[in-house]
Amino acid sequence: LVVRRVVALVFLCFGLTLLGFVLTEVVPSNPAQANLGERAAANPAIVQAYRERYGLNKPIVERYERYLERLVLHGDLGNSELSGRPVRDDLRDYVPATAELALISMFMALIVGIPVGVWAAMKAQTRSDQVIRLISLGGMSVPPFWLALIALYLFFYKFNVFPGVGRLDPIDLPPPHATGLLTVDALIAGKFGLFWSALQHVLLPALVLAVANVGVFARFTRSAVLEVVHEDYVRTARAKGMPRRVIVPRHIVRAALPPVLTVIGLAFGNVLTGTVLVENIFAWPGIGQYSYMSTTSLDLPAIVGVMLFVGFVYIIMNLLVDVLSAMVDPRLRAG
Amino acid sequence: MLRRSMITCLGVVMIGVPAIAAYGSGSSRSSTLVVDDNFSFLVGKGTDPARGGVDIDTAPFFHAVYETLLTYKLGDTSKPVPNVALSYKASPDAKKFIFTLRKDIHFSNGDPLTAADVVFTYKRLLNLNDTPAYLLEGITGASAPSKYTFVLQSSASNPAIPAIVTNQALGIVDSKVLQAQGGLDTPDAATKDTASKYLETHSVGSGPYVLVSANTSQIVMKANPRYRGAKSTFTTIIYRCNIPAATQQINARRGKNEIELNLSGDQANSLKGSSNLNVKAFTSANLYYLFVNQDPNITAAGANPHFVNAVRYGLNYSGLVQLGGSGAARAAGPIPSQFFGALPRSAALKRDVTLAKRELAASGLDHPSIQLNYETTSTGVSEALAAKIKADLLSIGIEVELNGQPGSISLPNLRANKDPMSLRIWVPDYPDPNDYLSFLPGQIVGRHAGWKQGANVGLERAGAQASATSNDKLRAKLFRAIQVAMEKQSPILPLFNPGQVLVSSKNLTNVVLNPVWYLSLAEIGTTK
Repeated sequence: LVVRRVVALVFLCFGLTLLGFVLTEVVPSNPAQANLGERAAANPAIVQAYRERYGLNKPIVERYERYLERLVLHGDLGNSELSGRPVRDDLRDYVPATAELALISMFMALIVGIPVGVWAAMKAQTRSDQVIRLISLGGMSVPPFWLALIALYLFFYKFNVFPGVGRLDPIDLPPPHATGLLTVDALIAGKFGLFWSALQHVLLPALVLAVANVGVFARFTRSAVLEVVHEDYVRTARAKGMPRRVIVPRHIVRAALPPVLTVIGLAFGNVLTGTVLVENIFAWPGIGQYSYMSTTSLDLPAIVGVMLFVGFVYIIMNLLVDVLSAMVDPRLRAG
Repeated sequence: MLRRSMITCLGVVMIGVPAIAAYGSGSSRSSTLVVDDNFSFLVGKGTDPARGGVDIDTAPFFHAVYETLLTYKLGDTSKPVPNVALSYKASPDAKKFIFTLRKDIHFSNGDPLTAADVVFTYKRLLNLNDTPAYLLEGITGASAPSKYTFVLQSSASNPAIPAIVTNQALGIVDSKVLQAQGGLDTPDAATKDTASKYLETHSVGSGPYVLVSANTSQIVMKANPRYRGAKSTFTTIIYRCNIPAATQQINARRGKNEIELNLSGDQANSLKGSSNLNVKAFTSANLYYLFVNQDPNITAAGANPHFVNAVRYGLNYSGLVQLGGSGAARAAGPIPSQFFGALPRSAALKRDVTLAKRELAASGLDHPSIQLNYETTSTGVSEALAAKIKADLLSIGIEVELNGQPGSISLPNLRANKDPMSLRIWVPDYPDPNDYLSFLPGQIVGRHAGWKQGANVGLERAGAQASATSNDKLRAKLFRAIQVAMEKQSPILPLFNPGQVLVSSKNLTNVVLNPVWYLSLAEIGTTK
């Protein structure tokens, strides 16, 4: 399974790079003219230097060949036209910010969404179930950017419970870069004050992102649990007098987990790659912001770099989901 | 069991999270100034003046960290004043400028600033051929005949040079340090200079502040203890980026020693009652303008002078100004009122629907239509203006087809001179009327409008004369005359200078908009 997925990853990366190059060539535009100011764009020497710097003076096939060569041999994703830096360095700055937000948000969504879903299934068709379904539907329906603004207004401005935007308080300098996750890096550096600051800053955007996923996880868990709760082996376990605290986690939740894991995997991928609006409102310098900037400025190396990252995330998430599903459900291993 | 675990989980999130958040919040920042901007700061270009120095969003940072030969007094961009250069002398033909430098300036590491550093700075910018290189177009020589004398030689007369050298992209760098870090001022600098990497984490200037750190969220500066000038009020400045306007609105209410740069007029108005805030509307030096392409291959209607006049007199200028935000003002000519050579606003052309209809009838065009291209924006200002122009012109019988596109598509089309009618914004490159020669036939904006060289010989001759003298009084007179003539003859119609609102904490002083470096951070102080 792992080998199959790794092979797929190689083909996917190849396809994504090709797609990125072809699409950018199809778009009727000109990166030098799109990115340079009026006077610079009217200066042939500056335009020429720009085109040479980013290889735009070469035919697309040659550029693609050189790109692949550098990618395969050196892991080099080229230089961003926008920042002028290697895309790899840009991604190293932006990805950890999103990863930290996504991990904490998913943790919050999981520890609330799964138990709530199980609870709702066990109390199916009761008033508690109806209330939970309504709340989870509400959580899924609220636009995250709107929720982000409301949350910031209430919890930062009105009640002063959370700090403002960004990853740290403005006067705090980030800890030395180890993982790029500021909470982890602060702990590694032994700076506990900085750890608190980083943790405080990530909580509100993480909560906002978690709200929708709580609803999703609760609904999917409820439905998956309902599918197994009346299975023969559950009835047998009950008939044998097993206590509820054993039946629910071992026989019901475990059997219901594989489809829920699939949803969790997809949701994690979405949070990692699609948080641009929430990142924007919380001034969170993550991959969503980077992809927006690179797309609007036709920064091809950055666009392809982001595409590769997104493809990589989804492949890895699918792989993880398959492995975890096989671990919790022996029937899948046999299959 | 299940219920207990669920309640525990919910408890962790609902109680634990706010508790953690509340713990230890509220750091002291009495001597720290925080500025919120909505731009996307990119480490790399964003910290190298010769690569990203002309970007208006990072301009306050460069202006705080690097010093230029000349500068401007707070709130007055009419005449450059001494800075690193004590004085300068221009040759009568405005081709040679000799700057005499101060001898008491040191970089933040203690190195003395000499003319050799100025030469390196200018040659590096020229040879890197990155965006700011246009500032030194036509410069044929930068030399240091003595330790504290710097000479700039231009191939053509350029009386705008004193204004150009105030640009923060020409902030003087420590050549010794930068050369040691891979900086080059030789012709191969464009491909071989590697100093930008060093500048991501260090500044090499002599300005009132030094760079502490720059990342994708913010730039942090600390006061330069070796700065020769007056001590700044704030020991630390934090320039935060990527802060959207809606978030700035919230930050403004909660902040202390804080400035918000991107609030719209409506957002700023909602803060006007706040006792802890100053809300000031400025008229920006940027210019919204509209042109009708003169090239008959692009639009047959546009090439008809009566059609252009119909557009000229059919626009409701005062209505357009109202869409430009608090502080917006009608532009009488392209040159903004902050610069010398500007026309008084009262001289601006006014709407005359009768005349517009008469001109349209004279054009012989029956129900003409034209496409209006513009760049879509996140603020929606261009969209609103385009819709207003469409409505104005429809009322006199011209059908306008709106074609808003993102900049990546729209700008290449503009620069290929293919826009039939175009709504654009001009951001001044330097505060001198010479920058507005671009609006004449055959120049940058003129070419975009299909207004080719030779299309209006009288205006072109006047432009050449105005750009070739170093007598500022005469230049001002000539530029005013050019603008008066353009008002009735040009297919490029100046609309208005948009408003810009700056919201700051009540105790802050000297929060003044500058058309070159946006804000002079080092000059911001507090009330006693």
